[in-house]
Amino acid sequence: MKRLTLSAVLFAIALAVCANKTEYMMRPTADGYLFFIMPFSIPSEEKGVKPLTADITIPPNVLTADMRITVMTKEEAGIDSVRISNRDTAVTYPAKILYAEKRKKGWKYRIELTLPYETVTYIYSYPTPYTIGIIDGESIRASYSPAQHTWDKRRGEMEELFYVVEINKNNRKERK
Amino acid sequence: MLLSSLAFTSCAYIAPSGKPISGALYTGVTTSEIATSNEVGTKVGTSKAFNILGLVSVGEAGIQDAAKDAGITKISHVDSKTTGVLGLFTITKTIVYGE
Repeated sequence: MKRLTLSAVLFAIALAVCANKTEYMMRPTADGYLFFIMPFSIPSEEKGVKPLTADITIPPNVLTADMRITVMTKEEAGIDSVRISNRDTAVTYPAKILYAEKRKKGWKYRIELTLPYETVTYIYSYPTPYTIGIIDGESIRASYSPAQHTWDKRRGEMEELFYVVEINKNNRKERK
Repeated sequence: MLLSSLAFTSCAYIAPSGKPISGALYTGVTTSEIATSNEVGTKVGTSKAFNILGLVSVGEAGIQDAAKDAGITKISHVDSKTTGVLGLFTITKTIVYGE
């Protein structure tokens, strides 16, 4: 029984580690390859606040990136923009609410924003983690930021992905 | 003993399409669920569900849930990705592409 419990715990840890890895899908379209970074979570800077979940889609033109974020709030919010900042830069982009759902303990919001692809590559080239601020009117309702060790790992994985994106973009140009 | 006990348990994961796709030790499989005549588009949505120890299953891994997550109204195709270890823990993700 002890062995079974130990095995179960070890595999649960293995699965959790796998789940934390940056996964992406690459799909051919008529205009080139579409890249999709599977949902990842970013912890809140405040205690007791659920982490946000985000995913990123890089369309074939590789000029922009669509970020979709799921955020839970205790009270109803009028989210209208998202602020992404690190020690050097802070940029704010308008966000559109895809849907809002009333949950047992608060609200679930799904929002989307489009940012330049270069901004995404810049953010992930920076050694310190970024902070995502969910803006409701004039104020930041909640802030989320990955831990440094998670950031170091994710940054490396994302740089690999950007390299793959670049290679496929160049291959497409050559074929034309 | 662990392996033989797993072989005779009924905790194998069954995909939404009804295809049994679990491996005895490890599962990491992406399968196609449906494809339509719509173009791939530029939107991707996901939904997921968990199975723990073959006893508890929670989550929303429906096509509609995934489409809603990305605001997709025209679905081009749907993939299903399953990751599992020993049939004890399984995560299934539904990935919807469209516009």
